[in-house]
Amino acid sequence: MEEVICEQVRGRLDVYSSSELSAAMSDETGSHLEHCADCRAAMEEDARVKHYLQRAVRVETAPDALRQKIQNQIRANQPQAVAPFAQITPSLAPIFAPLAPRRLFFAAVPLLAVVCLGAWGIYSMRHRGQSSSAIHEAASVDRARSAQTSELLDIGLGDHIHCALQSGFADQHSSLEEMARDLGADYSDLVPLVKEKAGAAYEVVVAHHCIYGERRFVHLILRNGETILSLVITRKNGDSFSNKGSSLVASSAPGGVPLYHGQLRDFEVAGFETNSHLAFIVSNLKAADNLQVASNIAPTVHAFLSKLEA
Amino acid sequence: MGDLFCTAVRLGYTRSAAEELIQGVYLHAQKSSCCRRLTANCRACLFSILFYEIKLQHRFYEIKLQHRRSSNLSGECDRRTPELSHNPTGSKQPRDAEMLAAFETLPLSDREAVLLADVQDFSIEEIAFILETQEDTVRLCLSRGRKLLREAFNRNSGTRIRNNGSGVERDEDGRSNL
Repeated sequence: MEEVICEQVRGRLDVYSSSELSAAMSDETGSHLEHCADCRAAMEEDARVKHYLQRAVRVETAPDALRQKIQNQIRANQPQAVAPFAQITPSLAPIFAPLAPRRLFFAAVPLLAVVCLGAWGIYSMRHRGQSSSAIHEAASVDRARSAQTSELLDIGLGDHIHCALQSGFADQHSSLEEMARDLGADYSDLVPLVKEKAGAAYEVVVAHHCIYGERRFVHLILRNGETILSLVITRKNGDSFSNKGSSLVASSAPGGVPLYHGQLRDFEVAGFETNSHLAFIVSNLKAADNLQVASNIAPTVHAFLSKLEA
Repeated sequence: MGDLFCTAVRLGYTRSAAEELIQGVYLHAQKSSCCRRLTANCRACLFSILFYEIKLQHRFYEIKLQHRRSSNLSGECDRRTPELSHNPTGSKQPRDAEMLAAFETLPLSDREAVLLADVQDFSIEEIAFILETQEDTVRLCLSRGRKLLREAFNRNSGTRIRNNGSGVERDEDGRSNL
């Protein structure tokens, strides 16, 4: 009987040591360990192996020069806010450099507060007259739906702004081999497909994976002169257009793919979904033009992702 | 940075390849703003990028190898894939060499989970985030990896610490330490 208990306890020592057992189970295991020397020895042995592993792995230390290289690399990629300091007092630039983004941030906070208050004031003045509760209710449901759909569209827009525009990837030009490497096996075939559907005027300049706001994206950036267009794909992670209201459904693309679209922060965003993915087409085109490109691309990308999911 | 470096090395990168990889991780982190968003767990975020880059590199070289094989361009492949770089000769403690040899016998997924949990002290939830997998998968890899590691280490060090569950510890000569 005792052997059976010992076997059970040893089977959960892993979980016990990482404090993942329920309180009752943990107490039971703890009290068994108090009086069973063999199980205690087993646990100590696990701890000893862990200690040996930590020691052996940490023998490998990073070269001192690596830290310096990384610091230099970070400085070289700092945003342009550093430049004015550098021009005025080159020797003080490294001191001011870390402060520049913070100063901008502190300057932006009150400005943002004023803008928000102003917007709220205008909004409340406009809506003061609407006293009918039915109208108010319908409007608020509509707004909520619209806000939720916009929230989803904002996922794609956020990555477009951050990656294509702010990080300057739209100005780069990757070779097909680089794009295939950066996309990896699963997504490398997207580039020729998207290029074909977007039309000859567009050129795929970058295709890679990126991370923005806790999400990972597959991101293709296309250019046509001054037009910068992104195809942004991410895992759903529980989000879905169909769950969040259909107030912004614009049309169905040729393959019967429902497209959701809207204008957010001066950009046109169209989105669609598959079982596991959300995809967005974001650009500085006019609404109709962005929707046209989205309608061309969506069926192919939808089929590609569905195949991948299968 | 040191933690990222030793993790990369233990996953098979040479020191110079690991240096390059870590630089790439910081560059990626700086550009992606991931760390600015996840300030509460910036460390997990950096590891997430590290494993992401490793996965991409592995995939790229797999494709390249497949392509070469299928097109029969050459009998020899351009392998910049990480090679097992380390004989543990740099280890100062005698048991380090045995431990590293044992560790390198583990399947890659188990090695990753054990490294993150037992060396870097990440929680199951964090490891699932870093490796982009389910928590149950992490638990499985961890439990299997620890068991295999214990067995391989005991084999390598020539001791039989657990004698069929009796808890009897023996030294190299087989003498009981109890």
